[in-house]
Parts: sequence; structure tokens; C-alpha cells
Amino acid sequence: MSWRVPIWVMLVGLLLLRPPPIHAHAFLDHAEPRVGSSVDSPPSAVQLHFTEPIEPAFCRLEVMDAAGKRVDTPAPEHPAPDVLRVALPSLAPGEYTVHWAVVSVDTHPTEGHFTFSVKKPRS
Amino acid sequence: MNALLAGVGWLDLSATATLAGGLAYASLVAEPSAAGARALRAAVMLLVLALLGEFILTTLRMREVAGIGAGAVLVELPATRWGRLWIVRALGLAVLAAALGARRPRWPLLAALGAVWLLARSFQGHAGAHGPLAALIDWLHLLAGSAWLGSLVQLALGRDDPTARDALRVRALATGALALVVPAGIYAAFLHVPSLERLFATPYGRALLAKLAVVVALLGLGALNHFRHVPALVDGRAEAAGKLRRTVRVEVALGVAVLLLSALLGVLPMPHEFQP
Repeated sequence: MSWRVPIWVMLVGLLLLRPPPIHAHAFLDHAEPRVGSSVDSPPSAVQLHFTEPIEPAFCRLEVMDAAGKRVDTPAPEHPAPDVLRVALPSLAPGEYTVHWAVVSVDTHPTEGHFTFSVKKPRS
Repeated sequence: MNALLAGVGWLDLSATATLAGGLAYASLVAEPSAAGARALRAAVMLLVLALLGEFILTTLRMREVAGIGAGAVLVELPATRWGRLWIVRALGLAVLAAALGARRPRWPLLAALGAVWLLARSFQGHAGAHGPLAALIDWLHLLAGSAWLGSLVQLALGRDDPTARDALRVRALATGALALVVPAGIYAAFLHVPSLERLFATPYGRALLAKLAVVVALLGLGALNHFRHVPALVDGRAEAAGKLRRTVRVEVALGVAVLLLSALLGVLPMPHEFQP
């Protein structure tokens, strides 16, 4: 049947383009402060960049100090579709753990955590 | 929770294929039989249940993830992209149900509405989160797969054995659907499976392989109908119609198994994130 030919040509062409693999769920792409980093001065915020857009209404972002006590922060902001940001108070030197739980726009949840450290000021 | 989501997803896919594909059959092949028309109405009812189930399960999952109350989730969920598309799907289903309830349904219009209605499902899921191209290719896959399986359901539910005219039309519809389903499915596989190793080493990859195995069996039966039973029916051989109908019933059963595996793929960890 002649009408099948253009469909096959179009779709075989599409396959030849071979799409790059996608993640389908939102994962942490990078963060500021960087994952596992030691920073000289206390950061004013933690900003997480994800591999795809997230639904801010169902996202959580918590920062814990080395003793496991939650750092008091305001509600997270959502400055870009794939970014979650929370302002920080002045942090004392030490190690901090950032716990995150997000939901991609197709409602698939993901979660994770990472640490960063604030160095003691040089005397 | 994932098992429930897969179960509801299976119900959703099965009813979607029965409804959208049945409308394509009514428009392009023949008026549905009494049993076929009942199947279309049953598909609408099952879709109402599936949509409600999906909303409830998603509310529970968001409550668990976000650590907020169910009331807050119920306020926020309709404002999300998923929630807005859920509303579009529900309204679209209501329109389809109303048009289907008419004394003399306008099948070509209903088939076109059904095809457009499937777009909301494709944009709501995995593919839709990755831009219009991925969503449109998912839509082609869903549209063609539904037309194929839904037509077979209608053929199996005919009051009598299929006529040569109906069999030839379903054969043409199934061939056209196949020309879309297979390349669009391969495109989706490339999109989700990053390497051949992950295809064999992850639950997602293995479920995809199982789905492909059932699809190959389905294609084998389709080829049997295409090259043997339908030509025999056209030649007027008495036993051909019965053989065709029996094969079509097995194809429908295999199609339902394919949809179960598709629903499972929707809840399994993606290949790149799976840690053994």
C-alpha cells in the first residue's frame, strides 16, 4: 500500500536520529555548595539543580548539622523549573547534611542526601 | 503502593485501548455489535474507576513524599502539571461518554475525539516530562496500539463470525497500526534504556524484553491472520472465519498481557537508576 511508505520513511528517519537516553525521574545534577565540598565561608543558601523539572509543592529540603539537629530555614524557593533553593542562617564551622526529596512533573518521587563542610576561619 | 499503581495503570491502559481502538473500529470497519457496544460502555466505566484510583494513589504518594496532610495535597495536586492533565482526561472522558450515549453515535467524530483525548495521557506520563517530541511519539505508540488491540476486541465480540469485508478492513487497520507501533516503541526503548547491558541487567530491561517477547508472539499470530486466515476467508473457505475468530481471541489475550507489562514498566525503577 503506497500510503504506508511515507509513514515508514518518517519513522525510520526518526529512529536513525536515535534519541539520547532520558532519566525520566528527577535526580540531583549538581548543588551549590558542591556535593562533598568544604567552603571557606558559610554559604547564604543551598541550591539544588535537578536533571528535570520538579513539582515544588511536594518537595522537601532540610539541612542538618553534625549533631543531627535541623538547621532552622525558611520554606524552599523554586527559582527555576528544575531548581530548589533554601536560604541559610549564618552557619557555624562544621559538617552539614542536606536531605532532599522531590517529585518530578510526572509525579515520580526521588530522594537523596549529601554533605558539605564549613571550614573554621583562619586566625 | 507500586503494585497498586501498576494494577490501576493496567486497568487504565486496557480500558483506554478498548475505548479508543473500538471507536477507530466503529469509524473505519463496521458498526459495533451489541457486545462490542457494551464493551465500549464498560471501558468508560472502568476508566472512571482508573482515573479515581490514580488520583487517590497519587494523593497518598505525595502525602508520604512531601510529609504534608492529605487536605494540603488535595489542594495542591490539581494545580500541578499532572493534576491539570488529569482534569483534561476526566473532562475528555465525560465528553466521549456523552457522545457515545447518543442514539446514533457519530463514529468518525468520536474516533477523532478519542485520538485527541489520548494526547493528554501521553503528556501526563514519563514521556510528557521530556518535551513535546517524546510525548508525541508516545501518543503515536498509544494511538496505534489502541487501534490495533481495540479493533481485535471488537472483531472478537462480533455477533457472528467475521465477514471477509470486515476482516480485510481490520487487516489494513492493523497493518497501518503496526507501521507506527513498532518504530515508536523502539524509539521509546532507546529513550529509556541507556545501554544494552542495562537491558539485560535491570528489572525494567527484563520487563521490556518480556513485553517484546509477547509482542513477537502477537506479531506471529497477526501474520497468520494476514497471510492465511483472511485470504482463506476472502476465497470463501468455510472453516476460515472460525479459525480467524479463535486466533483473534488469543491475540486479545496476548494484547492484555502486553498492557500488563507496559503498566509494570511505568512503576519499575528506570534502568540508569537501578542499583543491584
